[in-house]
Amino acid sequence: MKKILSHLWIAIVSILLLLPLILTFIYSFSQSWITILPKRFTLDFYSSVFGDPSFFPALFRGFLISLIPIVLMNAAVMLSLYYSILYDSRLGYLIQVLCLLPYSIQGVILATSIIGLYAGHQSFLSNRIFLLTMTYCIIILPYIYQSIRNSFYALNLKNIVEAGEILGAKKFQILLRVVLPSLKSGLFVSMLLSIALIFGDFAIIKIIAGNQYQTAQMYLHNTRNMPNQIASAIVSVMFLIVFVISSLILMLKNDDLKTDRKKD
Amino acid sequence: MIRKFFSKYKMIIPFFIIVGFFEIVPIGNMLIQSFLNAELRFTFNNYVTVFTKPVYLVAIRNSLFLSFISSFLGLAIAFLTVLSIPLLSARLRGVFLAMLNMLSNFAGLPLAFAFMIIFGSSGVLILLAEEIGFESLANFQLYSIPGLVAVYVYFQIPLGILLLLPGLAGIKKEWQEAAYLLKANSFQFWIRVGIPMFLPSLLGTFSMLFANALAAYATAYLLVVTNIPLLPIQIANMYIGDLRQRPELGSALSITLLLIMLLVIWITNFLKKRFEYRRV
Repeated sequence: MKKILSHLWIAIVSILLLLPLILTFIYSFSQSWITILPKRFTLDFYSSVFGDPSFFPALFRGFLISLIPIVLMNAAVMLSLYYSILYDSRLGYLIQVLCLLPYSIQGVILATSIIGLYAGHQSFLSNRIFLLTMTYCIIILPYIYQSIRNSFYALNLKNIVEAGEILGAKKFQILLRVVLPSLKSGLFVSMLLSIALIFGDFAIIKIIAGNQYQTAQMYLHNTRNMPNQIASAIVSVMFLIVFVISSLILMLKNDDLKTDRKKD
Repeated sequence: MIRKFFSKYKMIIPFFIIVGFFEIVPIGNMLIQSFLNAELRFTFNNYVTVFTKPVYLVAIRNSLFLSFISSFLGLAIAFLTVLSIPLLSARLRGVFLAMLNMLSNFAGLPLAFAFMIIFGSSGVLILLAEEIGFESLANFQLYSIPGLVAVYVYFQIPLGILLLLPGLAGIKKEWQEAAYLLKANSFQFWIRVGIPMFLPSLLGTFSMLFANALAAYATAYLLVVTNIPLLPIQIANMYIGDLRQRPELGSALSITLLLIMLLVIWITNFLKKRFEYRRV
């Protein structure tokens, strides 16, 4: 009895959760849908989206904008954590607070605070695309911090650095030649997470850049007054992209778990 | 002297420059600005406006209501689902969890668009319901508070399940068996043992869901035009859009939002600690 009830419950939840996604997907292929079944399936809406010369650049821009934040913040967090673990553990606490703070600040507040401070300046600081990049740097900070800190702990960093120094290597050399290569899979996961996060952001880009930097999100936003099937097609494509990224993340994490278990 | 400082701290300087300029200084500036008037004099007026002007009061009330209800409903559904998961076969469990993971990415603007396409005033299901005479669905109003609650609950459920799942591992099968040996039924077990043990995990998840709903911008932006003021939208409107920009008032609203968020996190942490303490 209990088993049947729980299966039934899971089935209901699954159907309700899948419904909007599946209907959007079907609708993107249908000419019109005002009776029980959609009338005539078509690829017209996809071809008009893919045929629009501004669609692919918009998709590409969504990824492009995540590039600098990912590289910059991985380097900055790695260097500062490396320093704090080796020389100054109290500093590590400060770094932790600063890195985890963006979790509770959230996009809208961070974006408006940055715009409020810099938008009026007549310098490079008020360049909206620069501000957007820097806001994304802060937003991805918690994810980058956690992945690097976990990897450093798993490595037992202090011992590795001592061993390297006994062999006559400099600290920076150890970081580049020993620590960095062993961080690879952790860095890859946090990189994908950051890409997914930035690709899925609408609040920050809307507040800071508006239509000055058209990403996939802004492109979708601008189709508000077009036929609904166009929007469904874009939603389907965007969902597919995020789905691929998140599947990759899950796969990599599971791989890590498996290798960890083997080690044990 | 300066060179010595630089060479000693060169590894941490980039981090502190970025975080300083784009996290600490902006938030600090926002806090200060919320206490200034247009002539840059100290004042409490911005906060007085926030807590007296109807539009902001309603925005705060709407946001609190929406976040609370959607987190509560989302958590309740997630909780029942998490309890059902162990009864599934291993294969079904794998499929279900993969599906949740996939759906947790369906959020923000694309999700809002999907709801608009399906449940909007000329949405697919709404037109369909009118066609077949399914009154209660045909009358569904997406652009209203109940409509928003539906969308918010939708994105809270997968997140809630994924956040609750690790906590379930803490409920040992032995306790359940022990309770049954002592002639407790399943309901008694959950009321007396299961839920109290699970409470810290439930509270932690609730505060995550609450913060998630409170700051949700894309959904609210697309689905609510002007008839239902919500806090994140009101804040953003102080910096963008056609209205006269009022950064001081926007700052006060932002700080209010931040304080609500911190208050909820603080209360749930406080309750969590109490229950964890009792456990020992």
